Amino acid sequence: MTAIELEDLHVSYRGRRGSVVAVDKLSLTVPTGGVFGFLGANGAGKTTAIRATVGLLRTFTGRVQVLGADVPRHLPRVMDRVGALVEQPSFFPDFTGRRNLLLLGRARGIGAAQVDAAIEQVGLTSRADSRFATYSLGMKQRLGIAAAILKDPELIVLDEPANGLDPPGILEVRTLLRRLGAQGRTVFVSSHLLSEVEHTCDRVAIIAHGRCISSGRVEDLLAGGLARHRIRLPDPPRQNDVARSALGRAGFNAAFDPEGDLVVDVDAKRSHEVTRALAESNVFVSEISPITRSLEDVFLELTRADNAERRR
Amino acid sequence: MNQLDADIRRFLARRIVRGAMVLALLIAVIAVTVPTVRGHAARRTDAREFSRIDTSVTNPSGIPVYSSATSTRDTRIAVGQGLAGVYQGVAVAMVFVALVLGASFVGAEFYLGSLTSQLLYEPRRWRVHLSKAATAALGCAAFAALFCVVLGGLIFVGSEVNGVVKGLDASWWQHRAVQVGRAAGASAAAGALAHAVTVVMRRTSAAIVVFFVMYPIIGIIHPDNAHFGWISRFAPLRGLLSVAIDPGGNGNGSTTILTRTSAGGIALTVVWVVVLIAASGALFSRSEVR
Repeated sequence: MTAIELEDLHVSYRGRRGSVVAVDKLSLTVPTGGVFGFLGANGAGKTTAIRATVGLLRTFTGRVQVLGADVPRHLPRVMDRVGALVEQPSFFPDFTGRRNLLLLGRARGIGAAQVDAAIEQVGLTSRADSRFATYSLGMKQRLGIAAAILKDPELIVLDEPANGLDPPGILEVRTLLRRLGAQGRTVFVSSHLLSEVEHTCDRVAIIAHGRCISSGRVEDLLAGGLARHRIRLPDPPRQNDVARSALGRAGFNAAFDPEGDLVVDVDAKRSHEVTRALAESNVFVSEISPITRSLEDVFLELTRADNAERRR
Repeated sequence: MNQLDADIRRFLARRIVRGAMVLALLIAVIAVTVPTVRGHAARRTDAREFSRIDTSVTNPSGIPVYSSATSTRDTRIAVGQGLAGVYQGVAVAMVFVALVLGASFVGAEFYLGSLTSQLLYEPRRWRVHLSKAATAALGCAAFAALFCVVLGGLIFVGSEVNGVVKGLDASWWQHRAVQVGRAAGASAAAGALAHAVTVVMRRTSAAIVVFFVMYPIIGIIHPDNAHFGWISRFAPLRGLLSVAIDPGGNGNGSTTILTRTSAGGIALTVVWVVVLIAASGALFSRSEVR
């Protein structure tokens, strides 16, 4: 069973200048278990898609399923198994953090012990009895996460959970997400903090202009595209041109990067062919290392390609 | 029931509700203490001794004459005679208080965005809507009833201490209980109506303005006016006020802001409550909540 399944989800708003498409036939499958990252630039449609997924937005076309239940019709059947934080956490400012959670939990028969456990999990115990209005942005965010995990859910949907958190806070959230994912839960987390997603998620989906432009395992996305290696030689001024010519003759595409290092397009499985070609030209390498791409590189590549395609 | 329980707790914990309770108590204490302390029995006095020369009244020769006032009114607090009138005024005031409390309850949730958090726990919108409407109604009814009972109790104590306690027979008690019931019922309906209008408009102020503007309208436009009389005749506030004050006991409907009969007022209010709660619920169940 999949945790979340979106099929041709389409959401448009009527604005002053006509209809604005927020989500454009988005199809996405989130498998159960692990941490799934939902990436996109601001305005890409992440939050709108999440709002439709958790039943806050009801005017859409397409099909949305959460834990096998159609949304919004059968959402109440599974809502006890879903925890969510959407946009900014909103609570009563004059109530304490604990009281806010107690009132939320009361609607589902959740008691004080579970509330305290959730507060402890997000590290808010010392401020649990302070008014919500006195919380910093990071503390409010943590209370929002506590509200999401209060139901001990199978599926946790978090929209930008690291917003407003300081570096230690971000690290704590990352650890918490990993822990929740390792417990067999499905964590669906949207973010534009790409390095965070890269460190936290097992799988990602990238959306742009309301459409999914890529999805899959993080390592597959990072390994995708053209693999490159950087070559360092013992005497670059004398050997660089010789090496480049030798690689060209061997059928490799080689060029110099801005730092003056020789960069050759080749994947790891064929890197030995590069060293052999150079050795045959009496050039012996000091170092050959793969150029790893970050998720940021992948994201920018994909979104730029999508933008270029839309302009055409 | 869990949802209703949580909403009632939210309602009671709100600062505006607690503030209104404290303010109401303060007003009741002051309103009873002052006449209790200052009240005195009627007494006949010696005109020569106590009355002064009234220069505005002269005899045919133009000479000022002594005032002929020889007695003073009984100003003591009298629960038996006064409470019925007090409850009428209080019931009208409680309707307007309920409009504010009912509108601000869900209005604050829209403003703060806390409704989003709640809908992530209870996605059944109708259930949330009805629970909040019931909370507004129950909360406002309890507030009105409590205030009436406290005020009545204070007036009774004041009458016992320095006033008149006469005529408190079974019929009197029964009529006062009916008055408290009417005040509570009108407040409950006002709270629910204000909640419904706020759900549609999503602003506390908008709902309050709608009802507060209605008051001069139903006063200005006579219900029998050939063209616009229906606006005034079927205005929800007319129904609420007619539930709060018995039109039959108020000069047979001579007051233009009330319905002709008590039953008419109750029917008008019930219809408005049902229509507005249903319409706002249908809208709420389909709309996006932020």
